[in-house]
Amino acid sequence: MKDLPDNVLVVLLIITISISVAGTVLTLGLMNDLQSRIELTGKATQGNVELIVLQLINMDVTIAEINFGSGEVSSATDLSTEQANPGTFSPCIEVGGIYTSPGECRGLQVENIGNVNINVTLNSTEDGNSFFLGDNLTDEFRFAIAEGNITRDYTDSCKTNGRTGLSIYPQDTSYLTGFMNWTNITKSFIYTVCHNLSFATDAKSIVVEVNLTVPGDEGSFSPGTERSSILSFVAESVD
Amino acid sequence: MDEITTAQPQQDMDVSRKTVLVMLVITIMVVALGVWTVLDNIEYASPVSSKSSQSNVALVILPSEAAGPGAPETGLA
Repeated sequence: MKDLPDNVLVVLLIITISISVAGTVLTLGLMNDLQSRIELTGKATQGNVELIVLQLINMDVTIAEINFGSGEVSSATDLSTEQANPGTFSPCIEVGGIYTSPGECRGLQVENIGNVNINVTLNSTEDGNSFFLGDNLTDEFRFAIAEGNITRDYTDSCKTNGRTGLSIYPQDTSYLTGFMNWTNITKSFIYTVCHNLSFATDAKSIVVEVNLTVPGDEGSFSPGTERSSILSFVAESVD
Repeated sequence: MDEITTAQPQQDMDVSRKTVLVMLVITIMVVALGVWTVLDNIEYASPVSSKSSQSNVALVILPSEAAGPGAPETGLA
């Protein structure tokens, strides 16, 4: 048997290198594409289809802005996302107490858009003392958590974590009774606000209500400048 | 003998063994680098273990005037 000529070998080598480079580029492209896809599609006419659905942890703050607007204060003034606020501040709900009213400051809605239950943590870049420059004895920055979504299409979403026995935090907030279980925010502290948020279509949201008490002398400190705090939410798989 | 004399020019047109060896080394390096790159990127395609989102709370306090009958009321918590 005759040996292959060297130039044939060179051609084969060049083809090999080309295939290797093209394969690497193609694989990386496919991997990037897979990363951005979150849905599965397909059709089977007969036979068995087997697939493994990977655990997808995903969350979105679908209503992410609370803007109380602007106004004057002459005494300690309470602003809240579940009330009609005084003066020229934004009325977060209608005066009649309708909680389904959309508005600039109705509350935050955190939604589980993955395919597994998640626990959700909250932390804030500011607390009462850093949010306001006025009287530190009267300023407050607080939150409360309610199950369900803002439009109240469903009201049961934060389940009990089987391992810890914990569910929503703080508990017992109810729009029916009007009780908001306000919790003072400590700057940068991480609060686990729901230990087991469902991903089911009709039970995948929680509402974060926010309450501020503006000190009466706040108008004397940097009037007209916007005060703001960033609330960060992190979703992780339930233990 | 005729076959030998006619085959000799054909062998001269082949690339040298040294060239083939260099190409082989390049091939091995490219393949190894490709495998390394793919394996190194696999972690980016693995399921994420957490997700974070941010929101914002804002307000503006206007210059205060003397407290009087028109002063804003204190709301109920």
